[in-house]
Amino acid sequence: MHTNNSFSPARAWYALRADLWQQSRAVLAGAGSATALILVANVITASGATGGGFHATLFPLALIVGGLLFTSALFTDLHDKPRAHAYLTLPVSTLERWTVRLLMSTIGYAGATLAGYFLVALLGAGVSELIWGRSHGLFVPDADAWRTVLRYLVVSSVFLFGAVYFRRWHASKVVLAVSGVLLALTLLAAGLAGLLFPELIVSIGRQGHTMDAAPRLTEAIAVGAKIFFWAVMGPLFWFLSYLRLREAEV
Amino acid sequence: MVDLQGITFGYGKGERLFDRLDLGLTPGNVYGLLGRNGAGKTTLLRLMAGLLFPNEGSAQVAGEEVRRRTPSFLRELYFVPEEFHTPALSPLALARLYGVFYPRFDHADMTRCLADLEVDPQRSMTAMSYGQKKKVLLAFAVATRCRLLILDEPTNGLDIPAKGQFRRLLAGAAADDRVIVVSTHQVRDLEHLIDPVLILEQGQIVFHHAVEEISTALAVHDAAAGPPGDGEAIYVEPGAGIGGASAGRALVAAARGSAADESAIDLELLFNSVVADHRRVAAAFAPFAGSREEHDAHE
Repeated sequence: MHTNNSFSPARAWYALRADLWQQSRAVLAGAGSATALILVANVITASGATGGGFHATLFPLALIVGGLLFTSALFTDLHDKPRAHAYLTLPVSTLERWTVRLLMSTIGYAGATLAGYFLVALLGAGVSELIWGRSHGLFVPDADAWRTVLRYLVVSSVFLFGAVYFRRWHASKVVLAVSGVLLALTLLAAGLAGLLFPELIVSIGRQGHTMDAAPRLTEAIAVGAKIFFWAVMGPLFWFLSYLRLREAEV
Repeated sequence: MVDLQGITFGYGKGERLFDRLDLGLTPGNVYGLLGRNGAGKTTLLRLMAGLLFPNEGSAQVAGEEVRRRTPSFLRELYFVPEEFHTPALSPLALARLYGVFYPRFDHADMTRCLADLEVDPQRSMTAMSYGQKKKVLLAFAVATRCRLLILDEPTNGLDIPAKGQFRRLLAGAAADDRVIVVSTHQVRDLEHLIDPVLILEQGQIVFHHAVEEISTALAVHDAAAGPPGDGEAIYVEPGAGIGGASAGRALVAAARGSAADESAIDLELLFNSVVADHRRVAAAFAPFAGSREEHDAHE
């Protein structure tokens, strides 16, 4: 009998179902704690509610902080020998194994947070109206919320790679590694700027100093950074995490 | 079916654990993999299962490179490690959730095995002891009906009645199209079950013989019946008991065609003999090499 060794939607679904079932307790505990925290914060601060600022602050926090922590913990079974035995010998392809975790980290978490936050906001508004006669209102995702979701999808790719790559302290190590890379890039840029535009560096700190010495270059760098962030970063780190998973050993 | 060729492997940049190791395993056998602590038994099993990758050489199962971990290979493999993790599920839920990955998974077999091992199929595994969890995994392993079953120290943690139940389970699981590899220190637990015997020593398989060959080539000499003849003993084991109170035993080469043919062999004595001097043991098989080739050709 021929077996599809690349990708079978049925196998991926079985793997996703098994993963969700296995992680359901931890996920429910985390989601329960977050819900309680948001609900309490919502109700407590509702007495002085003036506009929609509460949801504009708390939704990104729940999505990004919660999502990055969730993503970082997605591959803990890969780094624990007894669990890695079961995980790596489960009859699914590496692509299916990776797709399941990618879906959980991206669409799964973002979708669950949008839906969950909407329900918590609804509940919070109801309780607050009963207690204070005013509330933070309902949560209706606006353009800013959707942009936050998109940013989360990109940034979580780095944390997904960190989850596969690092054996422990995944989130902290990713933050340290990213900070290190950014620092190195800053120093490199400063060094290059010093070489290419010495007069600019000399003028820093002087009255009338401007960074517009090379506006085209500055603009090009900004556009390049945007292209890298929105088009390259996500696929790059997703691909790197796939490669790392393929080479994972016990 | 399992074909390891020229396997070289070491952890990190340290000493090599295996240096060009070759091993071929054929279906229809329950291989007993023996070796001292740290000899690399678990590592060898992990290499066989694609959980570790060799530095050099190739590891194939049914013609597939195991490091690719393809579904077609993994659905024919079940590995029960010594240290394992069980999800917070009941055995029946485990079968429902994970049995789907194995095309020949037999739920009735799982239920029967659990009954034989006296495990409650409805009870959550979080409330079970280590031994009970291991029984669940063994039952699941048998029910998968996969072609390569790897068991690392399967009798560790099992109580005395469970060891007997496990032996019956494993005997029932042996099939013509299946390779079962059992790594164990508890040779007495599985003495009458494993055949052939593999002994891993100094990064090589230094002993690989069927029980029939062993019984033909070697014999156990009881020192109580007098010392073995000059140069006859391959290995002499000192007497057990306080101050060596009881007489020792010796492993001797059986003369071809003598009454010692097909004598019962003590695996512990055999193992000690091989790790003491595997070349002397191998020499005892030399006179039978011709008949073995004839036997293989006949097979």
